[in-house]
Amino acid sequence: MSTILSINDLIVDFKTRAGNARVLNEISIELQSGEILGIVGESGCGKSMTALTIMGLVPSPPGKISSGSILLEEEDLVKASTARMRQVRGGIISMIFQEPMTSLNPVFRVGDQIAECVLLHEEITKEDAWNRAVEMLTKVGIPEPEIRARAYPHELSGGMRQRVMIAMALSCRPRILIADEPTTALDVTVQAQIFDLLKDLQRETGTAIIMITHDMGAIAELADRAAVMYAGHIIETGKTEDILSNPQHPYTRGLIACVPHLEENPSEIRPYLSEIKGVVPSLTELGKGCAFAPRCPYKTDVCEEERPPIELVDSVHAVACYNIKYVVAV
Amino acid sequence: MSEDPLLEVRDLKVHFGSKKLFRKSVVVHAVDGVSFSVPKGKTLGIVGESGSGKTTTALAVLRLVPITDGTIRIGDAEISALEKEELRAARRKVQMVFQDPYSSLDPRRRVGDIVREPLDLMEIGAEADRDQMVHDLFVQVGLRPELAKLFPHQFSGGQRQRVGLARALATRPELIVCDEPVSALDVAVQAQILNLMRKLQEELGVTYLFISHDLGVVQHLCDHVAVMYLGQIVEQADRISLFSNPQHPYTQALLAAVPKARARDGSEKRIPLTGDPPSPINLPKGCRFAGRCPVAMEKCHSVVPELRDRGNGHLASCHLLD
Ligand SMILES: Nc1ncnc2c1ncn2[C@@H]1O[C@H](COP(=O)(O)OP(=O)(O)OP(=O)(O)O)[C@@H](O)[C@H]1O
Ligand SMILES: Nc1ncnc2c1ncn2[C@@H]1O[C@H](COP(=O)(O)OP(=O)(O)OP(=O)(O)O)[C@@H](O)[C@H]1O
Ligand code: SF4
Ligand code: SF4
Ligand SMILES: [Mg+2]
Ligand SMILES: [Mg+2]
Repeated sequence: MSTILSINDLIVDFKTRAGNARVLNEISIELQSGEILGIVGESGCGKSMTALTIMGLVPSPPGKISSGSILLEEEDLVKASTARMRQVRGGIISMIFQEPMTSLNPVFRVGDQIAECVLLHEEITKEDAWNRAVEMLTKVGIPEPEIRARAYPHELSGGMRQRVMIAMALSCRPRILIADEPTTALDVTVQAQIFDLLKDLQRETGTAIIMITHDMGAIAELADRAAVMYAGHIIETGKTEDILSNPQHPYTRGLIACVPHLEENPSEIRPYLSEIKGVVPSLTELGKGCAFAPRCPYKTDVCEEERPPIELVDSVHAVACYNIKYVVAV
Repeated sequence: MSEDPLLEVRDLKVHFGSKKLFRKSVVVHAVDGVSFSVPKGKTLGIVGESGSGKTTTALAVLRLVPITDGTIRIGDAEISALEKEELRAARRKVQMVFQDPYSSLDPRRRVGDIVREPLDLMEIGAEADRDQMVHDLFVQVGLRPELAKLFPHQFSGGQRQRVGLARALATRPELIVCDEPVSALDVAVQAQILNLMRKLQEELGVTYLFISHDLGVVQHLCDHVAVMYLGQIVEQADRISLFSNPQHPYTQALLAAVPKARARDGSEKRIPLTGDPPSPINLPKGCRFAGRCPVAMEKCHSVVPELRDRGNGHLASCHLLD
């Protein structure tokens, strides 16, 4: 495996009425070719912003990349021209958005929209592009693809629209696919179909996938590695198994413990769920210390002095916390 | 579920008329013969895919949609037969909490007034005491009473859902109907609200009808669970029995679709459930699940399976079990 995308100490700031909001705070992520990387965290922690920054789509103003680099192999996308970024999007990196209706054009047939995408990046005839669209719809498991290619987005169910999005994102054979909560609005049954589809496509084409979600179960099911975000910081990364069965950061532990997991044999006794006390801090009011300190039961004086750096605890598992020793001893 | 039911629904049907398609009038069988009861102080969960009729069932219990057929009884009152004044009085016993804490609160009103409104409307308590009642409700749901002066947009999602619960509790209802109350919330906030709902049930003895598509949440909170498919209940049992021994192929598929921490080597294959549920307009002739059922037989396409007791009150409707 080789590193295909490497994000280094990236900082993104937004000007807001309440002051400067540092929505991404020195985040570093490496994506290996052919892997599925999960990004998890609560609403507002910066998951979508990470995706938009990679795609060169941060609205500016009010946002701006203040420092850091995003290396696509050797090329720094932070420094790339607008024209080059347009090439990268769709051609090399494509994205599936949370709400398919916002990214599908309601007045065009879905087949034409996929064909359009193909034509943008490849020199083929319109007819071949249309055939490719039908082929992609077949691949993503849409029944009667020739007929459905002629449908307008509103004529399809939510699950089918999401599949059209995936077909569109994959039609230009990207090397990296970013999926931002691709199943949040869907039933678990349809979600399972989409997950299977993503896994199959990844295995077949070797596309590296960044999967953004707030669902630990989705991470468990899909991702090889996971990164946990809190208030614009990456606070823990590692192999999915390590994150789920041996979480070390107090926030990751809290996040996993508060989810009512579905058991095959539920017990009669039902303890109350464990809670993370308090609320997520406002990004304009972060102190200089650990962003989790106001809610952390393990906090010591040092935590409020300086932000804990993210450090390896073994070869691939990294955590940003001063007090791991005490945390894991509990 | 024979112990002292607070809510009893019998053969409920809610059909919507619609004239869109080919100018022919069509009927949407949103809820099509549903029966269940919820014992006092307990929680019944309703699960099922989008469009299966969960919300319509909830709205019918509150008489917020016209009931086509069937009866709904809350305590001694037959809600489905009441009109005007009597209905208004009976409605006091039932309140609803909605999915979206963002749109279910009037943005122009202070949250204290939002919580107070049902007290004024239903003339509960002496007028002079109502401020104190609002104060107590805020404390009960874990909000600082001085926050009553703020507007909804000044609250987080979790706080807004607490306001929604305070408003629902104001009339001291016996039954609270919750339609996806935690679906829009983050897991950390969700845990706080679920714990609060349990605490309120223990303290006040309220009964919940709880709708959710999150099976983990339902397993945690509910005492009994009903699984809906295309307007009907296909399986219903107590919490332990339903999750440890699901009988209906649809329930089994639904449970298998939930992502969980498990081996990724592909050794455990889930039951493939393809396609979307068919429309509640042109209903299939036999079993409504037959078109997607991985174990369907010939009979399933023509004969309707009956919802029967498969032992200890565990109900399921499937020919394989007959
Ligand atoms: N235009 C903007 N101006 C100011 N702040 C913004 C703007 N857009 C986003 N933000 C802030 O950036 C932060 C990160 O937002 P982002 O959308 O990345 O969150 P997320 O992790 O994707 O959350 P969700 O799970 O809700 O999608 C949030 O705190 C948000 O309020
Ligand atoms: N007022 C109405 N007129 C016509 N059809 C309706 C009406 N309300 C609901 N329906 C239809 O009735 C069926 C059941 O809808 P309902 O909202 O009860 O489903 P649900 O189980 O709550 O789904 P979801 O999980 O998406 O909330 C759907 O097919 C819906 O389109
Ligand atoms: S650094 Fe300190 S405050 Fe932050 S998570 Fe670790 S123990 Fe808690
Ligand atoms: S009755 Fe037939 S189609 Fe219906 S669930 Fe049972 S086996 Fe499947
Ligand atoms: Mg997002
Ligand atoms: Mg609903």
